[in-house]
Amino acid sequence: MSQYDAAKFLYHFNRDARVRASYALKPARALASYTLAEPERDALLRRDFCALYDIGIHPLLLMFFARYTGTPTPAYLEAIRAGQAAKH
Amino acid sequence: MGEMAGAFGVFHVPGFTAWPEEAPADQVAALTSAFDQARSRIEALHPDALVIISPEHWTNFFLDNMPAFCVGLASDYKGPIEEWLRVDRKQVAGHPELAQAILEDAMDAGIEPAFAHELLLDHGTIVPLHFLTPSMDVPVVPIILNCLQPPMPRASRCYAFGRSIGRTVRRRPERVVVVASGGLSHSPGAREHGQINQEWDRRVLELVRTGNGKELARYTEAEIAQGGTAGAELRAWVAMLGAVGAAPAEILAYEPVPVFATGCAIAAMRLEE
Repeated sequence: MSQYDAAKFLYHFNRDARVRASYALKPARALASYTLAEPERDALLRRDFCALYDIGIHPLLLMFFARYTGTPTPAYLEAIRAGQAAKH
Repeated sequence: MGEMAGAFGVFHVPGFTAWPEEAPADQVAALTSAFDQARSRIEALHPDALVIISPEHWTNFFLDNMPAFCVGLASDYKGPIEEWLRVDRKQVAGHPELAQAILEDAMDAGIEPAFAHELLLDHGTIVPLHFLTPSMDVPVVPIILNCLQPPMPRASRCYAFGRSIGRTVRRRPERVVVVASGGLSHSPGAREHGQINQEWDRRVLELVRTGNGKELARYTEAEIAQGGTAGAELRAWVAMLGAVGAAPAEILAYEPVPVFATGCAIAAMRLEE
């Protein structure tokens, strides 16, 4: 159930500085223990917020993930909206 | 006998501590003034404890175990977990005896909250405490509501839980202030982020002002959703209103702040009436 695991990674990431440090150092390794489908893994590695949003990840988890990884909220919103616009 | 010394409903937008300089100065001033008024009133009340009812923000709970209600039983709590909140990390004393009584009385009333002997505090608790009790020296009982992931507790059940909290507070020896933290209308992180439903906010505040918590307790999921993806946080206010009963309120401030993407409100319940 990879959407669940993708969300669980973000839950751990947002509440634990050690997970954040691990992701910053070796992101693929930080994700290794989660059961992720390739699209989810890829989106988390590339920080594709729009893809993660469309998968159904809760927006609070995403917005805080974005902030911690250097994407302020306006840029995060632009990303999730631009991706939506590109589809329509 | 103790009493419910006071009750308040407040917002907890993290931007208010993390980036207030980006908001219009007049709105920040109005909200700061309202928080100052609430703080002064709380100081004058000399409470023994604060019961602070706030929404879950994926701080303590995930989908592997999401309680509708959770009562904090710990003797102390640490927070905020948000490194970017611009509030120094603190340890805040809990009030295990009052918390246990709230839990037990709820169970006697047919409500079964979860309980936790450890909880992290996030902006939902820390932002209000930062302004209401800046020294964070009043023991707290954090009560966390699922306002994140459906199915969420219905407004009527939040009101009922609040009523039970109120009964506990009134029979206990402590002087207690009850604080609801959340809202009002907002959709943080969603594509609707930035949309503030002022009509919905003002309708909610009018019901709060006129002591009509029972009307809010009848709100359906659809009516709550008109407050945005996080309008669900109204539940915290509904629980507080259950605790205070039909008391009216003074709305100390309402400001729809675009950069906070939230209709920010502070209300002081007029328990003397």
